[in-house]
Amino acid sequence: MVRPNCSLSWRNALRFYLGMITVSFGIAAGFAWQGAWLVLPFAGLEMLVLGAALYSVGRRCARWQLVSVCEDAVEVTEADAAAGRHRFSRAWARVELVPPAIRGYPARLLIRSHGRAVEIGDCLNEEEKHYLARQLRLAVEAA
Amino acid sequence: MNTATTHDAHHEEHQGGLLRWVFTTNHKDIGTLYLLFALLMFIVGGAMAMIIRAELFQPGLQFVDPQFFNSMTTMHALVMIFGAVMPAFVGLANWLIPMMIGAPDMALPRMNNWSFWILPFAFTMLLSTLFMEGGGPAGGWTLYPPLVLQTGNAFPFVIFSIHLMGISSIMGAINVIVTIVNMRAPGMTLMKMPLFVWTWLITAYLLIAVMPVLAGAVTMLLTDRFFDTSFFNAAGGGDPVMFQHIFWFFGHPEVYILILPAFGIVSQIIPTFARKPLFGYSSMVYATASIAFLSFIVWAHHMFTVGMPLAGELFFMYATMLIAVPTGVKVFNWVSTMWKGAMTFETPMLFAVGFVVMFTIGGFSGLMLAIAPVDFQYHDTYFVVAHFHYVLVTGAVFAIMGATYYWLPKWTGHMYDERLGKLHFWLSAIFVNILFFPQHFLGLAGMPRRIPDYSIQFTEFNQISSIGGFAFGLTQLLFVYIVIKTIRGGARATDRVWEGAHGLEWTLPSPPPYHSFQTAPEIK
Repeated sequence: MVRPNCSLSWRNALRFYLGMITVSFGIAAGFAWQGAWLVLPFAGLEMLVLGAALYSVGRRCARWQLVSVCEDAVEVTEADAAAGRHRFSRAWARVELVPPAIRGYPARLLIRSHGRAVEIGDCLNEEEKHYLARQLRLAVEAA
Repeated sequence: MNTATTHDAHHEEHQGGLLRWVFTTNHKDIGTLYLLFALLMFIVGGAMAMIIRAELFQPGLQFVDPQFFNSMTTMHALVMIFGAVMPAFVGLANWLIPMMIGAPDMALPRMNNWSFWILPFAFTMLLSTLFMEGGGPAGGWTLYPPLVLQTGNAFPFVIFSIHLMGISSIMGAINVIVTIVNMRAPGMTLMKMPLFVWTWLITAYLLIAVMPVLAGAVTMLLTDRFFDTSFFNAAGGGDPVMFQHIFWFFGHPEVYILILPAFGIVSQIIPTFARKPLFGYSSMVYATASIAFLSFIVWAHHMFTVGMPLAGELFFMYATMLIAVPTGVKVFNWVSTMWKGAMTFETPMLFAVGFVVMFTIGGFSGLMLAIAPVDFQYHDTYFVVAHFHYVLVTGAVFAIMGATYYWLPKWTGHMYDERLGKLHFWLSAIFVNILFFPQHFLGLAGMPRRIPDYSIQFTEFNQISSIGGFAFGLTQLLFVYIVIKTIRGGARATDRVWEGAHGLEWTLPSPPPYHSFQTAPEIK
């Protein structure tokens, strides 16, 4: 299974966000009580953006890919329902580490067969991609 | 392979030439853009300061009319605060935070690009107001009504540009917060984070808390002017003093937004050149958090003379004086870190030590201003001008310059010219004191701020101050030269650069690769 690092759990992200909302709306409500209500919509807008940012990064962190090597197939299952499940014939599947077109950019680790390809571990650093590529080749080509 | 140890490296299309800088989502590119923009604004704001000091060289009106003079004081503040110091800190955050916490980039790279590219438009709009009918804003950066409502055609453009600056700041702050909380490398717990990261986390929190207040305040000014509301119009049942409360509720935390990252920078530099770990790391973190908390409950010390109940004056006086406690803890810790250290005085260390000494002068004059009955004498005099310039120039700006010398070899892969760096420090340290120290005496003698003309008894100190100002301004051209020279070449910098440097950024090559951390960092 390949999963990106995340130093904040969903629960802690929610706690953090609720804390920020309390402070921000507390301040805005205080000013609104004094008649300066126009602070409120800006506080609301800002909290929306913060929430969207935390959600977006949290969701990106929650991704995972499961690579299963069976007797006759290689299956890649992804957390993202839209991406779903990719199945390749093990006899034809090739593990490729495509070097970057521009120096300094990350290489791409692909499982490819019959014109179809799926990228594995775009969250990994170069060293880990090389290690995973070696492991996958051993597993896929061991038949 | 169970879990990966980094986030996904960002797969942006790599553009060449100028477009690279327009479309970049790379934290190092954006950090560079912020820093160069801040330098440009520092020169623009500095040029305005030169006009102010030229006019004040002698009594009477010499070069500019009073309206333009007031525009210069207003614009100088807006440009230096929102255009120079804040973007410089955001640039440093962009460059350093991902490298310091072991992340490949900022959490929201596209938002990062937006938050930078809003700024040039905001400042072009703000500076263009100087050419509009009625001139630029001239009511001071505090934008107090009803004075600011007399601004000519520039008024809505000023408000819009402030909104844009606010949006940029908020996006930057959200990015910093989300990066720090989500993208720390495994093992990088909160209490292992470098102090610069801690101070930025707290700064970002302050920004998020107070920016809507500024946005609300300036929008209410706009509706008072154009939509017949009376938020701050006494004739319509509003209260102009309310604006002052709202503004300073934003404005005082803003002061800490401008200085907390400087505390972080100095806390990185001093241990390196004292070759000792930072004394009292935990107390530094708690002191920073305490200063941030106190910044929310001291705002009315900016308006002691507005007429408030005695209980209010006492509360704000004592709360303000309390800030000296965590600040004192910090100064004590910096000095204790240096105590019996194997000290050397390369340029970054000179700026850091200069910061500790001169920021403390600004802190002490701040304590004097905190005393309500004394503030009645000092209020709106040059004593206040001297105080906040000691905090913001010898504090924030010196820290930014120290940071530039400290990390420039890491960023460029070249060592700067140490001899020129030291010359820059000593000239800056001497002239900044010639510039601002006499302003204490001017203020104590009763010279009001924001005036183009003054009584003849203030002439000598103003002349000394102006000479210091011109010399300090010229000295900064040396800084620009040193930076350009280092970018273009120089002796090869090692990865660690400084013998005593510790932290993840020093484990990367100099200059670091486009995407940081090709190997997973190890946190001890």
